[in-house]
Amino acid sequence: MKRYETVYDVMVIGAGFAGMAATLFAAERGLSVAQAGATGGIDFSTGFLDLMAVHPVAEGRYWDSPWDAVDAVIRDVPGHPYARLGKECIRTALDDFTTFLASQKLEYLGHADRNTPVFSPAGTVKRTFRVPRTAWKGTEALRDKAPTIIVDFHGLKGFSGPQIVEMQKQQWPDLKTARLAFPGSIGELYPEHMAWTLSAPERCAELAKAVAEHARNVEYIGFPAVLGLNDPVRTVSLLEELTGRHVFEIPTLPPSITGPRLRATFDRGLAPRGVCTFSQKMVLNARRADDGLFSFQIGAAGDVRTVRARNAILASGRFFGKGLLAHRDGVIEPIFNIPVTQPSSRTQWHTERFFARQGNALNLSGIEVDDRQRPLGTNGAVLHDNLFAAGAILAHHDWMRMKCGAGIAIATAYHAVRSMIDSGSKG
Amino acid sequence: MKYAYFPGCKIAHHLPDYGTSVRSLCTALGITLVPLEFSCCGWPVRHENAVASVFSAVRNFAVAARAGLSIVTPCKCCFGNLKYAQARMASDAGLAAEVGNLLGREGLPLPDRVEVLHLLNVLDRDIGADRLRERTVRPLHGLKVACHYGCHALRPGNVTEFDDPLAPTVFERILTAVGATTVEWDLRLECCGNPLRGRDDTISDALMRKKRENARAAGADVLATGCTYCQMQFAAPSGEEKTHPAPDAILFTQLLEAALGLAPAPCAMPDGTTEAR
Amino acid sequence: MTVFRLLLVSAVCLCLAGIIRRYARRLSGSALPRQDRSRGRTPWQITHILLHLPVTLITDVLLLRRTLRTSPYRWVMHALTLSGFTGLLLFHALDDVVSRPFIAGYESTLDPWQWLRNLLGGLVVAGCLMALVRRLRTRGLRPATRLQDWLFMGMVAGIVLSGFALEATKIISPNVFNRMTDTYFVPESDADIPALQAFWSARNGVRFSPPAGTDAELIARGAELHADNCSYCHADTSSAFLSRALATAISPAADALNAAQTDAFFWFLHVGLALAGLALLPYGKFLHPVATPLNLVLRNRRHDAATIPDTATAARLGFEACTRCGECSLHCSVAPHFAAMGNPNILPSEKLVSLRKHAAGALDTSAINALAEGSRICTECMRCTDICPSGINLQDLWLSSKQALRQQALDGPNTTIRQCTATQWAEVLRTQGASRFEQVRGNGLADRAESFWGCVQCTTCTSVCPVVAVSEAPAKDLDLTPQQIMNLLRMGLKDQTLAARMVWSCTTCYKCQEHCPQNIQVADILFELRQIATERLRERDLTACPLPGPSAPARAPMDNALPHPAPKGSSGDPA
Repeated sequence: MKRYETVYDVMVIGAGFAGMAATLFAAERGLSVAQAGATGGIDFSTGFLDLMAVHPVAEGRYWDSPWDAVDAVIRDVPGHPYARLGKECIRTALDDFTTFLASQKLEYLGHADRNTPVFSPAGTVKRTFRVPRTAWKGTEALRDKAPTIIVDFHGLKGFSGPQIVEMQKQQWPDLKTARLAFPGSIGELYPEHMAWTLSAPERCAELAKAVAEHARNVEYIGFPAVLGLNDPVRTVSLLEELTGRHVFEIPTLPPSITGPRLRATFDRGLAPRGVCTFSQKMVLNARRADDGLFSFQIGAAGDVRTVRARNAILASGRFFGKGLLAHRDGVIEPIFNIPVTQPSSRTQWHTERFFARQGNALNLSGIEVDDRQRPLGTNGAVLHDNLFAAGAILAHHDWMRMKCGAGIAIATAYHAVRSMIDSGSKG
Repeated sequence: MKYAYFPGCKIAHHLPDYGTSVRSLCTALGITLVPLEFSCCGWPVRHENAVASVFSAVRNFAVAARAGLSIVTPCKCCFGNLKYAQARMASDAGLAAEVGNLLGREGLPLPDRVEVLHLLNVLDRDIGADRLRERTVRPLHGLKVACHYGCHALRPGNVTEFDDPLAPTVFERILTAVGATTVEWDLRLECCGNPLRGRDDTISDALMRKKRENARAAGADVLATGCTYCQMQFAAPSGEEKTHPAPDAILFTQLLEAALGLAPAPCAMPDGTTEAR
Repeated sequence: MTVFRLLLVSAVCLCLAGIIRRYARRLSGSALPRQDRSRGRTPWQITHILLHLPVTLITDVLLLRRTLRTSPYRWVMHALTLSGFTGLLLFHALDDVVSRPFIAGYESTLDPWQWLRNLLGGLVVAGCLMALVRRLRTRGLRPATRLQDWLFMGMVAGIVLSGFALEATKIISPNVFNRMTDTYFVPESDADIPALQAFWSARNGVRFSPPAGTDAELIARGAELHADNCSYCHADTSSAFLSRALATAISPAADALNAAQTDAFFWFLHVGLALAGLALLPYGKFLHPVATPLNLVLRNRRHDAATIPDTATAARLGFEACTRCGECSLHCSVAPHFAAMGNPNILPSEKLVSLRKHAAGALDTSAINALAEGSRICTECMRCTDICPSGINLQDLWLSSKQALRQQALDGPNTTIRQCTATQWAEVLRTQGASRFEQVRGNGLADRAESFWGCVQCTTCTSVCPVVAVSEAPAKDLDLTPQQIMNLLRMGLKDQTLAARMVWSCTTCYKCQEHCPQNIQVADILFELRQIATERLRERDLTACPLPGPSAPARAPMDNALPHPAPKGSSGDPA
């Protein structure tokens, strides 16, 4: 395997949403791509693709139109990553992204200009832009307040039918719940294992039979998101056929399989596009030669290899993905040592209320980039003309509270790849 | 193409067909397998004693280094443990010193890094799918194969460097080259259960059964293996198999042999040219 | 020769007694191969063996084909010893039975017999020297060399060397000369004896005191007398080329040696050693000259693990055909494990010895544990069986002895651990404290805080674990899930995790480690926990949970079924 000898057109650092998206867009444009870095939060994803839903976070104001929300946030927060992109770029990026997913049996649905209310794992309703097909009928049930039963299972943590019903019963009287024994199990359950089990049609039949008596008077059946691993639509269709009801999934709390499904889809789809993935290998440091060629040390202490590339896209995320490290004396970016915009002192990392709605300035930390997604140095000048950045590592956004994580990741990745190709840096 | 051949302990008595098949395939493809007297790869004793496991592996590197050859093995557990030993030697100075000491007592020098490859890697790298396609005289058209990857070659990916640990492709690349159709299945990268054979047979059986059922549900005619232990596991008689007919496990080298016209087909072929071995 | 008869009869009796004792012992030996081997006992197999008998006899028994496969050195060594010793046995030791009745005019002191005897003896000595050099110079052979190997080598060499010494001291001895002349020579004049002495002294090396005359005329007279009286039975001693050379070498001390009647001493030594060898025949390596050829014939030139004929006798014969050449241990796939762990039972040749002793009920607890460990570590690669110059079907022996040990729940920590619950073991292991292994090597992954710093208890490891996936009720079946184990370890509660079913039923697929978002080496840590627990049990000779556990009742009758007393030391006995 010549994985280490090749000089790649681009090295994507990070394997979360942004890293995956950057890899996909670069590969689709015919570049040779290497990808390394931690998977970060993608394993913990609900599977929904948020574009923009909450602004300002301090007020917790929800927007029906993500595009209006984008306009508002650009107006109020000029440094926000969306400010550099333009709606067309965002729209194309998301379309390309979901087209790819659909080609890999993970179809997404949603409205052109409107957020869709969906169930969160906790039973609350949030708004998101794109929803996996397997969860889509849940949004219809929610919209119509149709007679629906939420099924949960003995032994499954992180998903509670009664909790969802409790949250919804005021406005949705026809919502009920039932707790069943999962086929072939009497102990605690984990979503991935349940998904394994349900990829067997016999098990689906057992499940359908167990559900039947509770589902006589309903139109919809909601399950925790455990319905199959790599081809959930098949499992959902099978259950619909067996029960004669509409079936949908509601994401569970992590570790769910909605995240691993996304990642597996990328793993499946990127390899045929010639992408060289160094899974779970961390990029330890980078060196840039005078002619611009990057050499990356990847791996772990004791087993370090070098990978070279003509361009790099830094999509290593924030703290969980280890794109940013919180040291005693401040936040740093460990690979290129890019200056990090952050609260001026450590005391500002803390507030009295952990769940304070407005969030914390620390969660707006990140690196600064120019209009072409190139990180800036201390003097405000572009650091390297062939280094680009995308995703959560960018400063001036609180994706978790603004509900804009996937959108920022995908759109900035798209813009970074486009800028890279436009600048024609030896690509 | 010349390699030190590391068959591993189990082939001689427990799976001689694999040995025969590997040799015949390599001879036909111009890969020279040099037999050296290797010791155990260290995998079976790894549950009990890390030093014994790593030393046994490193001793093999010394033997291969003396012959100036890279190691190729058809067993994924041997492959995995040899790679693991290299990683441990690089990361654990205390252990490395202990192992160096033991080697010294045998009068062997601590070898430089010796290249260790699984046969699939060698076929992929040195022969390539294109040449396999050219050499195919009886393509396995219509045969639906579920590739069983085997854990110890895949993971931990940073240690084994066999292929992408989350999305490997090498097995499918080799088998589609000779005309087979590979199926997508959920449990492709899961464990066959052999490591628990004799340790916890209930779980071992359950893991194997689940894999087979999943391969069958995915429409596979056969399940291809590239590992001595995995094949032994799937070939072990199990009472429940009668009621749940599942795809037979076939050694990938035997499939290649059949396609290259070196041996009769190891399984019933879809076009009816059944030639049971 | 009443003394000789007495010794001979005693030796034969001892030998017979040994054989009877050996075979009369009940063969229900726990570690011996299965007794019920009726399945393959067909007449055709016997016929098959008989058909091939001539070829097998020539290639395997006489030409030592299998020995040649090990190394040319060993073949030369063994061929020299075997041909020399067999020749001596047939034509010299058994000359009353073989040589005299069948060879007209045979006299041991006539040529070519006298010359031949020296030649054969020389071959044996050369063979023994080569064996000595091999034992001393082959590194891997040292651990496979025991007292009985030195004893056997010393005995063979001793018999032949004492024979040479006997012959040499007889050559120089005037007493022997006198005895002969007294018995067979009737002198016609007083000058005859001095003449004969002068001739034997000059020609054949007898050292008289005072020295015989050296006058040429006297010697010529002696030569005539010799030709008339002695030469019918006596060739020149120079044809006994080795003994004569030895006689010349020791002749300066001839007077003292003759005065001390050393020839008589060497007679006793030579005969004594030979008869001791006979008496020892049923024991250990001494039986191999009988058992090995028989086994080679039965094995019918096979190198695999097929047992044909599949009878207990055939299996037992294999048990005894071991020449302790150590080739199996030199080529053993797990010999490096021995180097690292120091348990000789890992080496096939030494395991065979323990297995014999175990069958005789002569092993104590720790020796049984060592045997069990050695058996368990064998990877069944069949190399010992393929290489064995005696054609022993070791593979079959290991397979069945492993099975037997397993039936006695002596197949290692994996079985031992499962005899009690994780909680019970945690109590036991906590009380006993860390093992020497942990104290010396220590500071592994499981003991280092850094290993778990990153753990956020996200349960990814558990949720990807296929073992958790297939167990119906993980909390009950597995005690702990992977992420719970990581959590206990970071709280410093290692003892709580050591016997968890999750640790022992880990299928080592490494998914947990591959998927951990924080790069924690989950699977490596589980490996380490098994290694730590193994070392703790090993150091304390624990092969059963000392507390009454869930499967303890099932184990008691097994122990009673052992042919030997239950192992000493209460730690090994749940009852």
